[in-house]
Amino acid sequence: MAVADRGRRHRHGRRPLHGRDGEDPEPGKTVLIPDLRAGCSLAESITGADVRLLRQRYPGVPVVTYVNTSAEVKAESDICCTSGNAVAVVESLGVDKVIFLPDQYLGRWVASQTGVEMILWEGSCMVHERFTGEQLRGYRADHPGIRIIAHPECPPDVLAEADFVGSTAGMISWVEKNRPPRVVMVTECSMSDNVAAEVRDVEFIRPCNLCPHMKRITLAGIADSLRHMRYEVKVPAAVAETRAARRHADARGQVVIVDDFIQAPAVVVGGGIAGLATALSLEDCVLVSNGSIGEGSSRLAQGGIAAAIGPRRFPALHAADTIRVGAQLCDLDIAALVTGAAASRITWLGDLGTAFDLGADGTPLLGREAGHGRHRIVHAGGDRTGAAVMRALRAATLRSAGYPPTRGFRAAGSHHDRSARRRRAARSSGRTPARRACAARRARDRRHRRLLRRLDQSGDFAWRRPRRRRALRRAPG
Amino acid sequence: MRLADLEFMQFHPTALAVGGDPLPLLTEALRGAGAVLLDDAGHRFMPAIHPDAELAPRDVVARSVAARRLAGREVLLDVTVIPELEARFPGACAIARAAGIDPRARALPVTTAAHFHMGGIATDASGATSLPGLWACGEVAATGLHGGNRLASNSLLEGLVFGERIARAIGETKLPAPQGSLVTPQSRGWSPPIPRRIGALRQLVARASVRCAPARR
Repeated sequence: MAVADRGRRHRHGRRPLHGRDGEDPEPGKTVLIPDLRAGCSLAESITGADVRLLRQRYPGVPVVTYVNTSAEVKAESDICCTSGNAVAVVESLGVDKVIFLPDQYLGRWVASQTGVEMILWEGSCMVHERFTGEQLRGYRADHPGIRIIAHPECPPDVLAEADFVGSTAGMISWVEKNRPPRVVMVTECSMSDNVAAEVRDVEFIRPCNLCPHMKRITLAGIADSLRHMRYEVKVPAAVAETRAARRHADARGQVVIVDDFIQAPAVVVGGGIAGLATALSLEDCVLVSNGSIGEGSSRLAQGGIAAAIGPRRFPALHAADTIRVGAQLCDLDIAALVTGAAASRITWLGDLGTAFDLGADGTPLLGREAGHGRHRIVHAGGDRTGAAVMRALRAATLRSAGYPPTRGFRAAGSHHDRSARRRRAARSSGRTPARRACAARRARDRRHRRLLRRLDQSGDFAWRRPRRRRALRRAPG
Repeated sequence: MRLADLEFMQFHPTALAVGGDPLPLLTEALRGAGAVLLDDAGHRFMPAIHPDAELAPRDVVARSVAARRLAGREVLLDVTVIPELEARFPGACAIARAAGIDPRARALPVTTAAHFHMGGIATDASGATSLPGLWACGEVAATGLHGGNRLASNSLLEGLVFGERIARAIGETKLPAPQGSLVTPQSRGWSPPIPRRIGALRQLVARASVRCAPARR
């Protein structure tokens, strides 16, 4: 049996599940939490679904997660770190870009130490976030020659003021090695108590902020917890399964992760233009893709989309070119059918939000390519048409999806589906379960759209360190 | 399952000849915008081969490029003549720069590269294959649109058009309900698949399908 004796250890259980319908966080060990209200601002800032969406957005980039997260988030991550080993963990990956979750300040600090590019999440510790650089400059003015040590969860202006930045253990060894007479220690109160207890003959000034969550864990609470063996922390079976699947993926290189058993009238295999065009036109389906949705060859297309559009553009001439180039081996009916449908499909793509290259009159610019007798190639983003089209299709697919995907997910909510839903809603009256589920799904869709927008718009989301931070850290006072 | 046109493989005429797999492709729109192909003596060779010169069908261009490369000669794509090159072809410029070549300063060495498979799973006009309940669309399918050689910029179009048609066909199709129970990760006795066995199974299925395919087209 293991009982966590400090609040910090409890942070990983965001919503501890008690009862018997789950798995032990550590197989064979009982984990208790004395107070169910004890949470963590960092852990609450992110969910497993958020991590899956980030993976979608940055395929192939490893996910490093700070220990202060829920078991669900950890299950979706590649590797977990503490503030003490974060630098070593990131360096051990040997890559130049990682997704670091969820503490943006710790992430920036690790980036400044390693030179690895960080994709950050806007999470922060409510305790460390309250410290300011100005506060520390006040200490320097009041106590000349004082040294400042800070925890990496603090904001950048605080870290810039500090003589040393490190975890609790790092602070202890720094103070022991340097033996400064007086030190300002910028971290949570209980953490600074631990450091002060280790190093006796140094005077500590502690502008500490109390963590209200940690303070819920009291000695009396621990005694009660042991007496009654409550509240036992269990990991939900679904999370344990995701974790197992991830481990399997790590071992084998590739695996399809299916969160739960899904039933659907159709399964679409493939996340390229054909797969997404099919999925978006179906009323309800499951889309399975090898790799990220929209990844693959379609995205690499450098040409455009051939379509006879506008006045004096004839699908028949497009069909004739197709057949001539195809060495007269084409199916004539198919050539007529596809070239005839081209214009309406371009309109469809435009309605989905594809940014076609337009002329001054607002109609698509038409290019000409080998084998075409006329100008009839539509482009989006110049020679990156495939990428632009797939971006629009991917966003539309995610918008219509019932939940954010990993590699297998349900696409629903195309125009067919929306009207079907409206019909269903009209049939039912009052707040039926179906209607509630519908409202919940809409709310979730809105949330994901917001998140996607934020990811797409904020260029500074992928953050690269300023080079001079290391020099700042070395400068004494 | 019926397959068709498996012998038709399309080659891209202008991959940047810098090695690597896959080779970076220089879009054919460069030639549409005025870029010309030069041999190692600096002469345009396409006008002598086809009336459309550089805008000849891609198989003609690819064969001409391949013939010169096989003869041990270099082929160059001169893009310096294109006005506003950087703005119109950011992708191609990035590819050239990544290989250490300034596309505005000198012509780019090019070679041919395997690009698109015209053949695949044979389908009808609704995208249906010979296996009931399976539809195919995109490069995997052989709808009959491309014949022996795909026209540039027709592949994305094909995916868009057939995707929609298949979705409509699925909605109109009534299939018998599957018999027997499905095995899911939650089922009793389910264990993760063994990759080695999946490979063997795939080979078995591929052999079986090829053998069953009658040559109809």
